[in-house]
Amino acid sequence: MVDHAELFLYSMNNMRRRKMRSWLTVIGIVIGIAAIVTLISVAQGLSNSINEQLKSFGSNTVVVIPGDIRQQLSPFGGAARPPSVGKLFKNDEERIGRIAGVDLISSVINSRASIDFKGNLVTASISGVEPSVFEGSQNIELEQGRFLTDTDKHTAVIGYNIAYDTFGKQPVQVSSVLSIGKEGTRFRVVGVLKKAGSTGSTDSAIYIPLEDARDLAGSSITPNEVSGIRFVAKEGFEVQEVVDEVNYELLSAHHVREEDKDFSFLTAAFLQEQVATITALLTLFLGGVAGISLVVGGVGIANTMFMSVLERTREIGILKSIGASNEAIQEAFLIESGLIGLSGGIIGVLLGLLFSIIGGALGVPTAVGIELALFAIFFSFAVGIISGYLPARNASKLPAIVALRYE
Amino acid sequence: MLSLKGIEKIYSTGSVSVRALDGITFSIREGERVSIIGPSGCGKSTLLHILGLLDVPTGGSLMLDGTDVSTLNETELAQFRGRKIGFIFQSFFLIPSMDAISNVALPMMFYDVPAAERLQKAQKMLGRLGMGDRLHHVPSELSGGQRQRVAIARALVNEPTLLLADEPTGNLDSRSGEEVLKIFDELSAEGKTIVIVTHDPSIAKKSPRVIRLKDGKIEKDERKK
Repeated sequence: MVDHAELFLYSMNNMRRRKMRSWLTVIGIVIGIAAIVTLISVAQGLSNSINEQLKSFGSNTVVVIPGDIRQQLSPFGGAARPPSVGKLFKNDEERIGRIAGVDLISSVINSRASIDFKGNLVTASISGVEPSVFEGSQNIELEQGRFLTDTDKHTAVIGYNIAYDTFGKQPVQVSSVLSIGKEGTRFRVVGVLKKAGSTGSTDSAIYIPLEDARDLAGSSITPNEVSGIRFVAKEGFEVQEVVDEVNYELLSAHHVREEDKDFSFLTAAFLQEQVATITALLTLFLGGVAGISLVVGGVGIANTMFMSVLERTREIGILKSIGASNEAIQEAFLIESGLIGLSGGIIGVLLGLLFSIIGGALGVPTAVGIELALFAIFFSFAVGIISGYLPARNASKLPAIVALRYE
Repeated sequence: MLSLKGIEKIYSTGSVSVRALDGITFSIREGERVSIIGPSGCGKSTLLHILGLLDVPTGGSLMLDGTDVSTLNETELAQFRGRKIGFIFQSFFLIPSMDAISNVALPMMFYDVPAAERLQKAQKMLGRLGMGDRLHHVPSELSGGQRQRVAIARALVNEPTLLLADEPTGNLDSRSGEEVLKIFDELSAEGKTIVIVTHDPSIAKKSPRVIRLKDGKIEKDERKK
């Protein structure tokens, strides 16, 4: 039996003999692995951050919105049909409210409007909500002040970013006054939300009472129209079953069939599914792009190993003449190529980690799991072995006397 | 311990085939010292490679230590080569990146010899050949005669039953050559079986048995008294 440890040292020694070439080959793998780790960590980070936002949505919360979003969201769906346009009305809310299992139902009116704060003008989206029900169905944490109440008029609760970012240096605080809309209706800020997350949706939210929002929207919505209806599935009811009931009720109310339906449901499960599909595609795409560079790195290893075999042809003959078996020769070269792959993988993972940390510091959501790191290292080792296989086999199959005669 | 029967080696390159060895039959007893001589191209190197299991004959049979080597697979051949045969080459064939002691220890790497024991044995063998003060010199730091002594140490370290030398003094000046031949004398006196391929008549003269090849055939096989 060959002494594997000694063979390992022999291979290490050979790599050291051609330090420059070994390192250049390692760099080829480093680039590929670092790219894979970085890009996948971005995709993963994106997925995590979206899922984090979805958590605030609440797993029992359902939002009904106008139009059919199925075709728009599905990454595989063709745009064969334009999304049906539809509208939701206050009486839809009443119908839904009568269904068993529906709790904490409220309407939302969304609009975009210009907002003026001490001369700074920005356009932002504003949500009109029914305060007490909304507060009950959503996890709301305030940094300062209070949330809206049902009796409020011309008051606003703003997200963290609106308070500290949107209007430049001057923070918007409780008691600050925002002028909203064409007519510059004055809204007094009564509360600021806590920071939700890196790109948390509520961080950029502005909540005002529903009827104020209707006034702001003016003629852009018809009377009694709403932008969305929120409700919570009661404890003890399956969210999907409640959604099916509501679906049936709305289909008959709108006189449409399932295929032509003009409304959609947003549930945590649905959104998570969509996000998972999209981020999986993103991961695959980014990983694939980075994978190409890893293939190039693998070709580099194969190239180096062929060179290595060529310039050590005589040495292979000598080893065979003193009793090295074909397997031992093959193993020696595989150790060499495997080591190149492995060291490239380890350095690549560290570099990718560094990039992810830098990216994270710059505000790009990133996440490197131990699985990703281990996978990348294992994968690079495998690339080394696969790339080295053919050269190593060639070396081992060299007839001893031919190798010895080689000049 | 070594017997050849009708060994043939035919090289074919395309339509041309060359008969390098043509019905070689002889046997060598344990402890014998044999020189194989002949003009260049007579097939003596090919014969040595076949004796050393580096090459496979196209015909005939070769028995080494009671084993018909044609029955061995490649891995077994490698083991046989490492355990039973020590090779000494004209141009030494040391591994240039390794120092003397590592070169000598190398053949033991392929067997179950613990690392510490390997180095110990290699050191002892180098010491025996007067190289005890050059253990950590790489080949490029050694003279030709010294390199050949390292190569001989490497050939001997696995205690082979058969020592094969291919023009062992061919690349040495006459003084170093003399020294190497003296080593062969000593080994012979210890009872080692040695086969030397050479075209140097002075080496042949020292051998008690000389096999002369011509055109792939044995022209003469004579034993001196």
